[in-house]
Order: sequence, then structure tokens, then C-alpha cells
Amino acid sequence: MSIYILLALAAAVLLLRATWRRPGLERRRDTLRRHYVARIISALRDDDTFAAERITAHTRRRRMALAEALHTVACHTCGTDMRLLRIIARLNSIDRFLMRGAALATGYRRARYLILLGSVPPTAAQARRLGRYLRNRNPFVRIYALTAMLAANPATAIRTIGEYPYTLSPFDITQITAMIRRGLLPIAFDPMLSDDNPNIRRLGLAIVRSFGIDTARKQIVRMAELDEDPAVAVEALHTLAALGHAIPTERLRGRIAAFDAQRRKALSRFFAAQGYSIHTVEALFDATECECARQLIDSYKKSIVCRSPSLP
Amino acid sequence: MQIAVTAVMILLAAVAAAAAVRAIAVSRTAEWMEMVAIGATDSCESAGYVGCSVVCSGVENMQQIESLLDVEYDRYETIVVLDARVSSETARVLVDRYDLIRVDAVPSDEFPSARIRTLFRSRSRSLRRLTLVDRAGTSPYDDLDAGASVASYDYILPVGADTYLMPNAIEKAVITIASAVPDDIDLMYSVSDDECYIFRRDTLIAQGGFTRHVLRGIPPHRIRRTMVPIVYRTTSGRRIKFVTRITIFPIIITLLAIETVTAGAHLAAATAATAVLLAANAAYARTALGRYNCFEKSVLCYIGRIFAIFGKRKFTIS
Repeated sequence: MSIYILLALAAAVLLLRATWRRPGLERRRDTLRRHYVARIISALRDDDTFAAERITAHTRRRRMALAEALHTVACHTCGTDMRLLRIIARLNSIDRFLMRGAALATGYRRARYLILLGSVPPTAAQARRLGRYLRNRNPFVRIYALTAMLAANPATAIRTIGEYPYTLSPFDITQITAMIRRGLLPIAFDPMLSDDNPNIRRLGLAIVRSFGIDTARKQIVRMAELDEDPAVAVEALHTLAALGHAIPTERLRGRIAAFDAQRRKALSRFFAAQGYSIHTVEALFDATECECARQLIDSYKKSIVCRSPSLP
Repeated sequence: MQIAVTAVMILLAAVAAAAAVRAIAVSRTAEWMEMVAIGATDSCESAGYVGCSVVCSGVENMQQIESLLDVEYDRYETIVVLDARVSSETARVLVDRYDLIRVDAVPSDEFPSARIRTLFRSRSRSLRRLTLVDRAGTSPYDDLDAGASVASYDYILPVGADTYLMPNAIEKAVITIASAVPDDIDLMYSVSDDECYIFRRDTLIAQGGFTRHVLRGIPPHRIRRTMVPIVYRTTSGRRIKFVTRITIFPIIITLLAIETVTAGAHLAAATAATAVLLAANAAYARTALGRYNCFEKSVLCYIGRIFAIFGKRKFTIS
């Protein structure tokens, strides 16, 4: 019984210590990160290599704060010249620090190191070592290992994604699209849309949607009509609707009819929310599926034309 | 006597083990939240068309409505359900402030109890995410049905009075939903101090709308539990803080004194150590997950959750 009491009290003390220390640690980390962000922004603003070289981090805590600061700057300054950021990362061995951290950590902590590696790309040789995380149990570790590998070697991005052994979730696709938007990967949507790999086709559709590429309409309609993977076809329909393109209802009605009821209904509501007329929705879906869409459309349309505020 | 002491010791050990498991889960959730804070920088962009409609019933506070509208995520809307004949002042203020106009409200038969008197949407494009539903107030569940029937998105978060969203709550919920296999989650259940549920709209229709027993028909494998706090409530926290301070601690001390007399000092010490561990656990959870509520409420919620194991969970708002 005494052992139990001691163990319970020891566990309680550990938890209380973690509780008391946590706010202070977070505050210090935020302060350090803000300090580094300010110095990096200053170096970037003046394009001052000398100032960048003077940004140093020698302890583990400082390196982590610097890595987070580099990530913050890379994420929030689209089209920034990455040269200075790479100089800062190389001088402080941030990539090696993050690689070692990812190897020693587990779970979401490992994923966190891998996120930061995406902004401080490792060398191609180091990136190959990240390949083992692509089969990790944790989906966040997998996707962030993939993004780090893509950032390390953008030229082989399509091949790397093609070798990814799992289906990319919508969140995964958003993360890769965010990298493309930051200029870390090329916007090569055309070959992606005709690729054999459904992951790559879905990513291609996400790029089209994210950048509003109108020229891809014909390809998207073809994918919505003929793609062998229903998930890709649904994504293509979503993309068509998100871009506000004219919908070739005759060609797509048959394909939509092959989807399960839940998916059809979700699609009809999506079309309605995107502002399509009830005629378009009725041409694509059955009467029962149109009912909810009709309700949405009616209420939205009225708000455009009605000008008189009223209360009961 | 020896058997009873052994049984109590086993029970205490089980509680301590559960506390340890919970501390690990809290730690993992805190790591997840830190990872999301760093990683999901483009959180305002919709992930996989996952959209969320917040449906509020019994809301009178304008500050709360403004807070619910203050979400960066793009596929998001707030639906306020009230009885404009009873809460006429709130309705009038809402209509004036957000430039709302009456629009067509064709009732659908998806939610049978959703009888809508009038539907209002904003004329301003930037405020399209606010919808006001005016209906005769019958029960909060019917209010929620009415809100869900006009919702544009596939996931519904029901909230009641004095309920606020935690920072980036919708983004976190969407990341949880969008990182799973599409259409794989029927219900997201936030097991925080102020627990809340995010329902898939089709699941609600299949269950016949909101009721006290809506949770019973959802298969456990389609429920995603998370310790990430999504909402927090303000008034209940203050009330519980006062009540608990007066009652809980004297009760615990009395129980320990009785246990010392009847079962001996050792067992009472073991019980006290377990209680300290539970309290430390609640304090850790509160710090790590950024709860907005008082410590006592965390403890009470924790105790409530232990008792919830023995009965079927009922859905209540606020």
C-alpha cells in the first residue's frame, strides 16, 4: 500500500510540475521565436546576407525556436527569396537538428519536426532517409514526411507523390497545395490531370481549384465523366462547381447517377451553395435529391433580388 | 474486512491507471494542437469541401453571435434560431446590424419538426455566413432541427446560450474530419470540459433529427472522439466554481476522515493520494489544452465522465 501511495504521489507531483512549468516554457519559446522572426524579417527586408549570417542558435531550445521562426517566415511571405533562409538554416545546422529530432521523437512531435523540415529543406541524401516515415502509422507523420521530401527535391515531386503508398486525404492535399502556393513546388497541373495515379490526379484537381485555372475545364469535364475512380470523378465535379464553370449536364448526369445516394445528395447541395440555378441541379440530379438544394437556392436567390427589409 | 480493503485498493489502482492513461491522452492532444498550430498555416482554405454550420438556439447575447461569426475558415456559417415574437429586440438588432432581409423558406421534409416561420439572410455578401431562423419556440431540439434544415454545409455544430468557440476551433475540427477517410465520420465528439458534438447532417436526418437520444443510433466506429476543446461556456463555469468550493472539498475531507476511522489510516492515505493524482491530472489537462473554465469544473466534468461510463450518453445543449 505504501508503494502505491508513493507512486500515486510521485505521478501527481510530476503532473503538477508539468502544469506549472508549461506556461513559462511556452512564454519563453514565443519570445525567442518572435525575436528570431524579427531578425529574419529585418535581414530579408534589407537583403542583408551579413545580418542573416549573424543569426545564431546554439542550444536545442534556440534551434527549435529558430526553426519555427524560419517556418513562420516561409509560410507567411509568399515568393520570398529562400536563399537567405537557407543560409541561416545551414549556418545553424537546423536541417540536421530537425532530422535528428524527427528520428528521436514519436507521434505528433515527430510530425512537428517534419513540418519544420518542409520549410528548411534537407539535402537530397537526407530526404531519402525520410522515406521510412512514409509508412508510419500516424497519418500526420506520413504527410509531413512527404512534404519535406517534396521540398527537398521539387524536380521529382510527381514521382515522389506517385510512390506514396496511401490515399491522400483531403487535408493532405491541402498541405501539398499550400506548398505549391508558397512557390516550393512547380504548378505542373497538366501532366498531373492525366496521370495514372489517382493521388496525383486529385492533387492536379486541387491545384486547378486553388489557382482558379480556367484553361483546364475540358480535362476536368472529361475526368468527371470518365475517370475510373469515383473519388476522383467527385473531386472533378467539385472543382468544376468551385470554379463556377458551365456544367455539361447531359454528359455528367449518367456519371452522377452511378454514385451512391449520400454522395449525390452532398453534391447537389454543393452545387446549390456554389450558386448554380435549380435548372442545372434538376438536370443533374433526381427530384428527391433536388429538394434540399431547391430550398437553399430559393433562399439565396431571393436575397439577391429582394430589397425591402422586413420583420414579422 | 481484508477482502473489502483489497477491493478498495484494486478500485483505487484502477482509477489511478485511468488517470495515467488520461494524462498520456492529454499530452498527445496537446502535441496535436501544437503541431496543427505550426503546420496548418493555410487553415482558412477549405479542406476537401468540409464545411461546418454552427446552429445556435436560445442565444440572446449579441457578443456571442459576433464571436460565432468571427471564424476565418471559409466554408462556415452561423445559423441563429430564435422566436422573433418572444425575443423581438434581439431579432430587430440582428436584422438592423447585419442588414438581414426576409427570404423564401420552403420547408423540407428532412427534419419533420423544423417548422420555420421566417428565414432571414444578409443582403451584404460579406455576411452571407449569417442566417436567422424565426420559429415558434417549442423545444431546443426542434430549434436545432430548424437550423439544420437550412444549413448549407454537411457538418452541424449545435450550441446553446453562452457558448463560445475556442480559438481556431472550426479549423481544428475540420482538420480532424478532413484527415480521415472522406465520409467516414458521422459524429465528432469533443471530450473536453465543455463537451460538444459535431454531427454529420445526413446522420441527423437518418436519426430523425435532434433528440435526447440522438447519440444512441450512431455506430461507435463512426464516432471520432477528441480531447481538443471546441467550445467553452461562460456562465456555467462561474456557477459550478461557487457550488463546488462550498461543497466538494468539505465532503472529500469528511469522507477521508470516515475512511480513516473505519478502514484505517493507510487506506485513507491511499485514497487521498489517488484524489491528489486526479486533481493534478485535471490541472494538467486544463493547462495543456487551454481550457477557459475553472479548475473545479474540470474536476467535476472528469467525475461526470467516469459516471457516464455506466449509462447511455444523452445529448443536451448547454
